[in-house]
This record gives sequence, C-alpha cells and structure tokens, in this order.
Amino acid sequence: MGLKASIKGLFGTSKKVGERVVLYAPVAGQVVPLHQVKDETFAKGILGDGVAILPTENELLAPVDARVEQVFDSAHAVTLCTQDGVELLMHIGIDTVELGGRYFDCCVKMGAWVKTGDVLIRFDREAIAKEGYDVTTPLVVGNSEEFEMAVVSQGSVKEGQPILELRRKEG
Amino acid sequence: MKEFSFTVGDPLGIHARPAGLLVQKAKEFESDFTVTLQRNGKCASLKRLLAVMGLGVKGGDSITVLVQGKDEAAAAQGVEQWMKENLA
Repeated sequence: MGLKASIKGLFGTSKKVGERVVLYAPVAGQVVPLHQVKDETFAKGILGDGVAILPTENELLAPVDARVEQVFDSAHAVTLCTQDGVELLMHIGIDTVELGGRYFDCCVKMGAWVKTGDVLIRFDREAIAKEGYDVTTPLVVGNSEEFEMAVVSQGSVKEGQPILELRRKEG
Repeated sequence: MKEFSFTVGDPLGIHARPAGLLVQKAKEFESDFTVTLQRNGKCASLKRLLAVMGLGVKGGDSITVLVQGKDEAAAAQGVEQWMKENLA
C-alpha cells in the first residue's frame, strides 16, 4: 500500500483510492433520477450527487455501515459518515422541514454507529402526502466530488438492494 | 484574515437546502472559511456540507465566520452578502 493509498482523514476515516463502496436502497420504492427531483437544490446536485426514491414503505434504513452525524430536530433528514469517509445525506420528502417533525420519528442518536439495514427514521408517507408534500427521498453524497458514482438500480427497488456504487478518485 | 458575525433570522435555521447553497457559495472562493456557532462554540468549514449541517444552526442563532486566503476580502463580502439575502 503506497503512501497516497492510505490517508487518515480529518475524522480518522481511511480514504483509499479506488476503494469501492456500495450503498443499498434505504427504502423500497421507485428510483427517481436526481435531476428529476422537484427541488433544484437536489436536482442540480448542489447537495451532492446521488439518487432519489419515491418510497412505498415507511421506514428509512441505513444504506451502509456508518456513523450518524446529524439528526435534525424535525427528524425529516439524517446525515451519515462511513468509515471510508463517504458523507451521506438522506432527506425524506421535499420541503418537509416545514412539518416541524410531525409524521417523523427518529430511531437513532447522533454519534451512533449503525449497520446496513438498521432503521433510522420511521415516517408516515400517506400523512405527509396528504399534507401536500412530495415524499420523494433523495440520497446524496455530500462529498461526491471525491468519488466516481454509478446508479445501479432503476425502476422499482426493494430495501437493501444495491442502488449506488462509489469508487474513490485519485488525489 | 477577515471576520464577520451574522444572526440567522430564518426560523428554520440552516437546514439542508440553505446549507447546500451556502457551501456552494463558499466554494466559489479560494479562501478557507471557519464558521463558529456562538451558542456552543462548535465550528465547521463552510466548504463541507455535512459539517455545516452538523452545526445545527437554528433561527435566532448567531454565527461568526473567519475567512483566510488570497481572496479573503471578496470572499467575506460575498458570503456575508449571500447570508443577508438568504438567511436574514
């Protein structure tokens, strides 16, 4: 392993060039290309590159083994960081910060390590939709400029099915 | 080095969308930005999305931004102006 191949990151993460990270669908539903998400901050990749799912279930699961970085008071979004330094943001619905936590129940604490498939947030997608919100749930990599990324699922997905593949870039 | 303080007026604070836009604005400049949340002293780089979101800045919170680099004058002015237009 060369010097460049093993760099200890800011948070003690290991950042190996070429390392492959697979992210698994955090919820069952329909895959929505990020550029079709009806929020231009996501659609234009301002929050990072990734993919979205229109959920058909009410539990958001961890897409990978990771540490919980941030849970919002309103429990509509969560950020995770993996051991390999992949920074993830999952955001249930569009503009759902405005619901102030109604219909969302966060099941994890900041700083906790979670395993792929652990329940992060329970939500009531019918109630959220009934309030007039789009429940499309983007999954984006905040530091996606550090990775090559491929969306590996289309159409309908089951939770736990591979959805994104990342490979850390040189430098 | 340049420094400015700002009080977030938006009752929703710096949630995902404003954090993304703020990081995008900061990345227009070469300078480094360190933002400190006055309430608890936590700091973060303004160029790292998860770090900015992780501060959990709420409406009414005051933040201080330190800017350091070749284009620090323009960078401080640009980001402060953006905050006034989008987070006040």
